[in-house]
Amino acid sequence: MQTDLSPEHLDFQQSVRAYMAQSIMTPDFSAELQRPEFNHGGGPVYWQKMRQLGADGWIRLSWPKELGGGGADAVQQYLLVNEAKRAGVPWPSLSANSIGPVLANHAQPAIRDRVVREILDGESYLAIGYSEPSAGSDLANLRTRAEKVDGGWCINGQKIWTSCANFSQYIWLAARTDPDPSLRHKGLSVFLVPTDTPGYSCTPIHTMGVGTNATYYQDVFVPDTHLVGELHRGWPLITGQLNLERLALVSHGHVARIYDETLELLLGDERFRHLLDEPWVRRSMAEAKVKLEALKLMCFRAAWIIQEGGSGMVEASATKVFGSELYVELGRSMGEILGTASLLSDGPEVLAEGYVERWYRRGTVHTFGGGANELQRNIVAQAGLKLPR
Amino acid sequence: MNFSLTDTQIEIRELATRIFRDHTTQERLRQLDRTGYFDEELWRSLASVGLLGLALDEAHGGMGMDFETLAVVLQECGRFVAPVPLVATLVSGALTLQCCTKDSDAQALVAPLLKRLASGEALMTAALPAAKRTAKNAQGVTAVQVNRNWTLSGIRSAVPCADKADHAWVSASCADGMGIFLLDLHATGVAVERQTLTSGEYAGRLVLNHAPADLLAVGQQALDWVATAETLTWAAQAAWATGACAEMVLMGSTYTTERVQFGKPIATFQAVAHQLADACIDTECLRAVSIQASCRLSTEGYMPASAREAALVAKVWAADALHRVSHKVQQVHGGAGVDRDYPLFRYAMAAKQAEVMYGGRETLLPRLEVF
Repeated sequence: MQTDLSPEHLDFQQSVRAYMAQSIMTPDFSAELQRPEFNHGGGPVYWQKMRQLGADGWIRLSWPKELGGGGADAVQQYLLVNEAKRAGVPWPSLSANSIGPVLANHAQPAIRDRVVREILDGESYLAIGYSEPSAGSDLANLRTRAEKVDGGWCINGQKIWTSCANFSQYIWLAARTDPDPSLRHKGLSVFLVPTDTPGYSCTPIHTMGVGTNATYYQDVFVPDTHLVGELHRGWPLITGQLNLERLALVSHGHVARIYDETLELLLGDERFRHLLDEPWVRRSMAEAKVKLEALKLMCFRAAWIIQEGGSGMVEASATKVFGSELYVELGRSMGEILGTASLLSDGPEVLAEGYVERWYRRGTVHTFGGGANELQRNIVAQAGLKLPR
Repeated sequence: MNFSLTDTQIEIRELATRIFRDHTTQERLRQLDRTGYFDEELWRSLASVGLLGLALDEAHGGMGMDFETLAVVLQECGRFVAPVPLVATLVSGALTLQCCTKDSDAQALVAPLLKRLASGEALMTAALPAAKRTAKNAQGVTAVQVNRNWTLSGIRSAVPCADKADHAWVSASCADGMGIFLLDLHATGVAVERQTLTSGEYAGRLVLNHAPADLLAVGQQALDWVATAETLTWAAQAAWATGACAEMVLMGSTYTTERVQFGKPIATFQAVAHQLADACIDTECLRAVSIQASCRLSTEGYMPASAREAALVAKVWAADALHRVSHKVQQVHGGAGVDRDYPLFRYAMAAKQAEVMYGGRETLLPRLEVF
């Protein structure tokens, strides 16, 4: 067995790290991302950087070779997303790693090549339209309807938590195409909805942490060519990419960030150096390190399993539970070490440009976003341990 | 990156599984529960297929395999809570002796012993210093040299297997700081008072009164010896613990799938299923860090800081996982789980013992270097 990165993977990791730090997370981008309306991207510098990622070949890196991509293996994909998130880059994972390749495989030829090119060039982004006010964990209960009309479909409904919709060119939308709601997930289809379509609108939702959106569909017409995959067979498209996405949510670099920041402050900042002598501080840091080591290896192992052709479903769900809860726990333990300064969002003595203060406000979603941990535990229990439902 | 076993490792695992399974019938274990939970027959079976010498050099009659492969056997040992103290004897004892005397003055002295350890003729244990690093350790052994002969005096309690071992290596304080000594447990001046550990295994309280001993290492070499012993032992325990935790989770899953209350299998209640899911997640985290430790020990050896750190991390995880998993699995079993007619109790007791032996989480966290 080999748990440390191979020389090739290490080189790759280093090159991504350097690229993100030097070419992408420039001060102007960093400043723009702190503005609430541009937290997830969408500002002028964001689009510049996305086009640069496209031009430099990073978005196509994770796409399969047969779709014109770089064919990066699952471990490389994980490393890519991990380094981007570590650097604080709003990596376009939906287009680059998950929905993009699904679209390339299942969209109809009439729209596929154009949309694919836009995505790979960093010109277009997608937002996911799955959740609704009455369909969160119980996604199969969704009610947004697509009715067949001449030449296409007429969509009515509402989506919530449609993050990035405010600057995306397309919504990847799950809608009910079979009028019988008791069919649940068997009556769903996926559509690509351009956000400049009449009848589509988007309003911001201000959360304690990041900004997101509600999107509304009032007699939104999409042509037949915008149905992705088979009619009524949207569910496999929805669930297909979930496992790698779950790993991306709790990637080691992302969760470790507050530990890294705290370590840097303890070692190099006059205000904190004296704490190195405190046994409780040393112990908290040691405990954090022990847990982060496990997260690192859980992510590697899940990515490796997916690379070897396994679904990685149980491993990804287990890692998501562990990583998300660790994220929250580290916020608490590192916050104690940093003390009152960790509460500052603005003004002199703010830590890490406010990154530390934002950790809690942005972080509580980790345990319910991307698949609530209760459901993830169900997956571990049922698919992993074969417990009866 | 690779998380799969080699063909050789798979074969060895199958061999170990077969032998452990054959020797852990409930009937057999019940007999051993009352007599120190050590199976001579099992020990001889392992010896006969060379598994006791798996990680010892071929020059000593061993199989010369790497730590990763030994970890596979240790995991199976934990999986069956097999009544043979492999961590104490094969790792703290024999493997430590081999690793720490390589290219040292003591190499010639220990070669005959290593041969007998590889074949299973002799059994060796170790009296490591306490895992917690405190300014004063209340109990200790002192070594004194008269002419060219060393003798040891003092007391060491709860030394695993000391009741049945032929030899032990012991840490002692001497004029030059710390010394590591090889002790013949049948020699004059050595009294071994039998103690029973929570698992039912016997240990020994060594009462040494000018007991003759051979010097193996002194000063910095002795400190390195202890560091190596700890690294190897922690990694070995983590492998054992992975097997034990995985089996407990499996037991819990099987039980709750069959046990019906309120008209349905209790596994269908989320409060029950989620505890097992958490126990599974803990086990997988332990497995991951245990694999890292075994891998690094195999590819880098036991000296580099990265291997030592990985072993310490794995042992902390073992302590946590053993605690949480055994409690959750006992919880979902209810009364049936503590009944001695059901196998879970042995896992629970062995888990508690392995958690504390060689250092639990609070003892070891302060020893992890972060800065």
